[in-house]
Amino acid sequence: MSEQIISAKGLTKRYGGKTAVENLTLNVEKGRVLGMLGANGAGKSTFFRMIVGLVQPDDGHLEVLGKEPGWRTNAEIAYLPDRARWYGDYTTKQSIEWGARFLPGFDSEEAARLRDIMRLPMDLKAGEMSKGQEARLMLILCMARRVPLVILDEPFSGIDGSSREHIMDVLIDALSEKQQTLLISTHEIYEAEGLFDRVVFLDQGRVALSGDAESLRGQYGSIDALSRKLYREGEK
Amino acid sequence: MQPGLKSVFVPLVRHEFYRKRGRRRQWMNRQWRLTYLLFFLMITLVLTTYFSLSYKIQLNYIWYVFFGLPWAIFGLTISRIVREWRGETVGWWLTLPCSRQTLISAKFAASFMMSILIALAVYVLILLFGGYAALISASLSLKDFGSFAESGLWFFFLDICSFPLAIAFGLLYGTLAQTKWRPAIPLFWIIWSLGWSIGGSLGWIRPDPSIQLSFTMILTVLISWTISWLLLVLTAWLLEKKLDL
Amino acid sequence: MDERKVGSLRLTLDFSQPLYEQILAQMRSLIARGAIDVGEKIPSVREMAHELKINPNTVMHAYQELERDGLTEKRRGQGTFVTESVTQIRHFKERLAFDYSDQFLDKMHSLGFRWTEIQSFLTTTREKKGER
Repeated sequence: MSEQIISAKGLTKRYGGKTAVENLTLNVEKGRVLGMLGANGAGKSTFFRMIVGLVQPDDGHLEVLGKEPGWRTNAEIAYLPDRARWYGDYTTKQSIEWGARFLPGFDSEEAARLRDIMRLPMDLKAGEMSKGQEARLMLILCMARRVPLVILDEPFSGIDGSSREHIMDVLIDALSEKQQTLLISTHEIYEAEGLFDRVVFLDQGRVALSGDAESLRGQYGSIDALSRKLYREGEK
Repeated sequence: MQPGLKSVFVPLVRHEFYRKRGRRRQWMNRQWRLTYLLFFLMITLVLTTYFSLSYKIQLNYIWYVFFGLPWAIFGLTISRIVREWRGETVGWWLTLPCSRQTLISAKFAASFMMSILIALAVYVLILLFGGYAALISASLSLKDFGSFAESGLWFFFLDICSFPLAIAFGLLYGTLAQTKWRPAIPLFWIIWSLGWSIGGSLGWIRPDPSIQLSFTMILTVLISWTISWLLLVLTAWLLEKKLDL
Repeated sequence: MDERKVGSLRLTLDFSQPLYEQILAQMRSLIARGAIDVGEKIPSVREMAHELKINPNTVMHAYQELERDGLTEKRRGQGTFVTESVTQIRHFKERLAFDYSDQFLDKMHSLGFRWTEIQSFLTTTREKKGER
């Protein structure tokens, strides 16, 4: 019925002898907020990198926005890489200009609004920002774009509480105003618990459990508790 | 609002050109850097004065500094790639909606512009130094200085012709280390040194005081530029298909 | 369980239960018992989503259901308001009251109680809890 934004069939990626993603089959429909959950090395980042063409799958088939992923499809994807930093000698202002110049669909007015919410000084260089400020800047570069797909790899990791709240606010805003599809991977599930409407748990590159967030809640309790339970089982 | 692909290249070059070293905190502030600069300037001045007054300086040999420059440019270009990884900005760089060829060409263009500026600065500095030496030395005439400046220009020109190859090799080398082709690095060094020794034996990087354009030289330069282009294509392909993230 | 304030309203959210149902049930009872006045504006989807830190789509679904209940109405460009019609709210309350009574009676009957017994249970329970 609804449009497929991502359709993955039997995706596999190995690094040496280690399997990062194994036979992953997953469809994401338009307008969903998908939480990609799982321990470190469960394959979340590798999956995201395949979507933006940074990593080539060894096997399987992947379609993003109805096309094969590559630099051309990246014009329609806002992507926050994991553990990313920003170019240290760019100020907030210059970074926003950079976004307007290089990122298709970038809305400078929206960026200015987000900057106000995020309370980032215009002339502060990224190299002199705190980790939380830098994360907020990078999030502006993603969320100010009017593109159909937004992928955020660990947007909350290592960030102070107030930055997290700002980020949540911006995400909720984006969802109420734009018809975007959002993919978020995170460890800090409690923070983002209420945001997901679909959840995929990855374990060693495979889907351990996936489903509608509301029905998972009805069945197992909170997503946060469910993930703790899954991790514990995974460790055994 | 949508930036066209063609209009992206020039801003991309500008982005690459103006970027500074990366994010490590400078461990030396402005005053200290100035102090060091003045210190070296003074030493150079004193030594020049001493040698000009006591010996007859062979000014032309100073231009041999230019033979080291392509190596320095090679190193600087490697760091252009390396710092995307070290600064953890590579995810932004490689997901820009431009082809890998565009991305790497922009780095190439920025490096080339930067290296011309560096060569120019080196030329001017040496010229000033030579001028000072000629001024205070009894044995050096204004005519000597004129031919000194002219041969320097020749070295400068040769250097600029060699930069594209040095830059293309630097970009390839920096990239190789981040791809599944990492084991090709020793091979890279073999080809690189072979290339230099062949180039050297052909004469265009040998100290050649005769300021002359020869057919073989032009040919060598053209071949080296073609190789540079092929290396860029190879680098772009590696970034597209063989990344090891 | 998290108690959160949205404007002048207090909502409790329990992340171990479906959120949509919680919002719907709490908004229904807030309107039914008059905690939100007739004709009063209710928080926007956006505001509600921000304060509760949840997906606006979840709030929107609950709001759509409230509209279907006849408890609220959308006014173009102004937001969502509790219906002006007192009768509509009363109808809704009565319908819900019937539902609850029905469920209650079903449960009591399934335990084998007769009406007189059920009545005495109600009286004792009310005395124990104290009149409210």
